Amino acid sequence: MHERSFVSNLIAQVLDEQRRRQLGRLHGIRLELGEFSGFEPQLVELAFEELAAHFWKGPVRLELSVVMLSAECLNCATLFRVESFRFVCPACSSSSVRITSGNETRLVSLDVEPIGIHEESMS
Amino acid sequence: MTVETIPVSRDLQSERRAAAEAWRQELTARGILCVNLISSPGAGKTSLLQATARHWSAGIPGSNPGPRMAVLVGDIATDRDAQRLAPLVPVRQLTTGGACHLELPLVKTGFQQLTSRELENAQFLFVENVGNLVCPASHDLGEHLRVVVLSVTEGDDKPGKYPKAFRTSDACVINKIDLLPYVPFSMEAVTADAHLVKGDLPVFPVSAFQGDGVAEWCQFLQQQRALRCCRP
Repeated sequence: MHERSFVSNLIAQVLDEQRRRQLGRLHGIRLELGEFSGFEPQLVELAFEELAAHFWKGPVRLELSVVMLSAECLNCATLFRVESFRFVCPACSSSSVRITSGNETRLVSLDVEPIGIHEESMS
Repeated sequence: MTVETIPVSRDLQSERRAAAEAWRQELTARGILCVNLISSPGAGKTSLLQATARHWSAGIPGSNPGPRMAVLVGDIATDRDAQRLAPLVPVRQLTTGGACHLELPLVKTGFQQLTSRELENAQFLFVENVGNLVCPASHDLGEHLRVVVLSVTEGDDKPGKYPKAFRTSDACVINKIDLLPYVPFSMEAVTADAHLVKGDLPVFPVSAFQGDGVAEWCQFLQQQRALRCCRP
């Protein structure tokens, strides 16, 4: 279960974005997770629920979308979805293939409150 | 209350990837090929390293000097693996205290504990990961080669069950082939299954215990070093 370390890293990078961009209160995080990233969406969500409360007071929603595992055949250039982790071209049966998507761990966007006059005067 | 969406588009692994790449380059510049060994517990990673060290006679005074190697061994607890290797090669135990895989900072700390004398003319650094076919597959330790070790007692259906471990590896060692007569394990089936996940994965049948296949495995390592970090 290495999702905790993944989520710690996610939180650190969100905090970094908040600080650098001087963002207001955080409400939501949108995340893309590749099917082949090695991180399990449900375990990421569980770890996030557990850890987020230590960093943000209000509820922060984690919206997670899974990116399909796809590949390109290096022999005949067919693009295909990799099913059941069989890295074999469905058109020419070549196993010389390159992954084109499915390894992502991307922080897509953050939902934040615009900084009001009150917060600005505090900073 | 209004909430606005701020686009970020940040690759969460990019910093770790860059750190691993920098470390790989540093080792390359020192002429050291780093090999990350992954497997389930008990597949024989430590035995393979013992056999490798014996084959090269590394660190044994008075013998014909083969390539020099150093080892970092990861485990959740105990220094048993380090104790097994210590008579043969410079070794440091990395204890993760519960974590299921190694990460780069711990590997670097372990490497820094090796003395300059132990690393003198070192050509290979082996990192023996925590026994686990899942999590180590997602963590780049700055290795040049990732090698997955599978023993015949585990079954020939493992590549398809742990695709990431096999897909991200550069070679596969099938260990304990001396037990083949006693277990229902087919070399053809495991090779075919591994090649569905990674078509060009080299497979090395080995008995670390009896020594079969160790010479071929060691030769592969030396070829890879010549290719990836050539320094005489």
